[in-house]
Amino acid sequence: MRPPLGKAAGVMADLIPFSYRNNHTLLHRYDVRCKMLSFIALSLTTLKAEAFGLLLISCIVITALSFLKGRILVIFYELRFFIFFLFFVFIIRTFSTPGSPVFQNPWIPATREGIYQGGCLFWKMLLIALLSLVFISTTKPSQTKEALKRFFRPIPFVPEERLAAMITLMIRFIPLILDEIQEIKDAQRSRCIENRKNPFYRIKHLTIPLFRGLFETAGELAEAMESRCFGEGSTPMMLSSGTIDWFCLAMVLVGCLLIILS
Amino acid sequence: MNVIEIQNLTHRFPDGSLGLDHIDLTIRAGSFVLITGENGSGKTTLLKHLNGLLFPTAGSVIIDGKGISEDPLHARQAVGLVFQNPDTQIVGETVSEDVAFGPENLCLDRNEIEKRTHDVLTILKLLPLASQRPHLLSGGEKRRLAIAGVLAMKPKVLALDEPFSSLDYPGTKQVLKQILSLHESGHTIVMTSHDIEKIAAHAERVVVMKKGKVALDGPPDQVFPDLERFGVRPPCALRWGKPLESWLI
Ligand SMILES: Nc1ncnc2c1ncn2[C@@H]1O[C@H](COP(=O)(O)OP(=O)(O)O)[C@@H](O)[C@H]1O
Ligand SMILES: [Mg+2]
Repeated sequence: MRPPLGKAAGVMADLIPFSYRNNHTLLHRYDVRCKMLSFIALSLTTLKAEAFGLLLISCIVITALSFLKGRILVIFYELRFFIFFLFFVFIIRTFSTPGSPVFQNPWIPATREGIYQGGCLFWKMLLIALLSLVFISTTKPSQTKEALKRFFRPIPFVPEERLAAMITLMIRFIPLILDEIQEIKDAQRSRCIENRKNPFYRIKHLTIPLFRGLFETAGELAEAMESRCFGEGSTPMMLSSGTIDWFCLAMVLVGCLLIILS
Repeated sequence: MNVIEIQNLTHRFPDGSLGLDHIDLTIRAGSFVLITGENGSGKTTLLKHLNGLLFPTAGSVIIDGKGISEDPLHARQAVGLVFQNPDTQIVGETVSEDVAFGPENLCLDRNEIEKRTHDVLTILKLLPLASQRPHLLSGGEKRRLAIAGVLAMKPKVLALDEPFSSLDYPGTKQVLKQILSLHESGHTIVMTSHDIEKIAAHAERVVVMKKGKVALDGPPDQVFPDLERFGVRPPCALRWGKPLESWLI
C-alpha cells in the first residue's frame, strides 16, 4: 500500500528476522508474562526431550510459526548460516560418537548412535532458535521490558528499572547499527573499495567510521530521550492477563512436565 | 508576557571553545521567531539551552518563570525540542508508542496518555499510521512524528532545529503547514534554519547569529536586507523586488 520510503536503511532494518512485527494474532495478544514463562519452559524442555518429545514440541513450534504468515521462507533464508553451522555440528557428531558403523563398504566413520545424537542436537538447536524468534516477532520490546521489570522486582539488589531499560535500549539499537553498516558499505562500494583484496584494510575502513557513527548516534539518541524527560520513573505499562492466559500457561507447563517425565 | 528570558548567556564547551557569547534574548509568548546564521554559528547550542540539555557557563536562561539550572525538568516540559535528525529521536516500536514515550516519562496515568496520543496523532494527521513502524515512514512523516512526540508533553514553546533539512517539496509543505497551524493555536515557535527561503514569509521576528553572538535582531523587513553580510542568503523575492510569498500557496 505504502511505497518503501526513507533511507535505504529502513529497508535493511526491515529484513532483520529477530524484530517485532505488529499484528493482532492470538500470540500477539497472549499476556507477555505468561508468554515468556511458556517459551522459557518450552526451551528448557527441548533441551531435555528425546525424539518423541521433540516431535510434540515441533508441532507446537510449527503452529506458532504459522502465526507469522508469509515470513516463513524469509526466516529460513535469514537463518541459513545458523542452519549451515548446525549441519556442520551434526556431521562432527556423526563421526565422533562411538558405536556401530553405518557403512562398512565403502568405509565411512559414521555411527548409528552418532547420527541419532547429532540429529537430535540439530533439531533441538533449531527449535530453540525458532522459539525465540517467534517470541521476539510477536512481543513488543516495551512489553518485554515491563515483564522483565516485574520478574526482577522481587529479587533484592537488582535495579530492575535500569536493567530493563538497558535491555530494551539494546534491542532498540540493533536496527540503527545495521542501517549504519549498510550506509557505510554502500558509500565505500561507490568508491570502489571492492578493488582492495586485503580483508584487514576493508575491516579497518568499515569499523572506524562505524564506531564513530555509532557513538554519535548513541549520543543523539540519549539526548533526544533526555529532552523528553526520560528518567528512572515512568508510567508502568498495563499488562492484562485473563483466565485464558493462565490456562494456556498451565497447559504448556503440564505438557512440558509430561515430556520430561516420559 | 515573556516565556523565554535569556540574560548574558555564555556557554563554553568542555574543550574550551566558546559556543555562545553573551547572548541576551527575550521571547514573547505566542510569537514566531526564526533564528538564522551560517553553519557553526551556535543555533543548535542555543536551542539546547532552552530545553535544559546544556547549562549556561555564565548568565541565566529562564523558561516560563523558572531557571533551567534550578529545574531542568520544568524546562523540558515547557519547551518541546525537535532535533534536526528525526531518526535518532524516534524511540518507539510503533508510531503511537513513540508519541506515548514523553507522557509516560512524566508519569501521567494511562488514560491521559492514550487521550493525548490520540489527540496529537489527529492534529498531525498521523492517525492512519498509528501502528506503523516509525523507520518505514517517509521523511515528512518522520518529522511530523518527531513533532508529535514533543507535542504530547503539552509544551508552551515548540523549538525546531532545521525542521526542513533533507525534506522534499511535499514534505516541506506538510511540515510547514503543521508548524503554522500550531502557531495559530497559541504555541510559541522558535525555529532555526540556515536557509530561510521556506519560512521567510511567516516569521514575525528574525534573529541572526554569528560566532556565538546575536548579530541582528528585528522584524523581517528590517533584517533581511542585511543578511548577506552574515552568511545567510536573503530570500529570492527580495532580490527581484517582489513581496515574500508563502510556500503553501
Ligand atoms: N560538544 C562540543 N564540543 C566542542 N565544540 C562544539 C560542541 N558542540 C558544538 N561545538 C561547536 O560549537 C559551534 C556551534 O555549533 P552549533 O550550535 O551546532 O552550530 P549551528 O547549529 O549554528 O550550525 C560549532 O563551531 C561547533 O563545532
Ligand atoms: Mg545546527
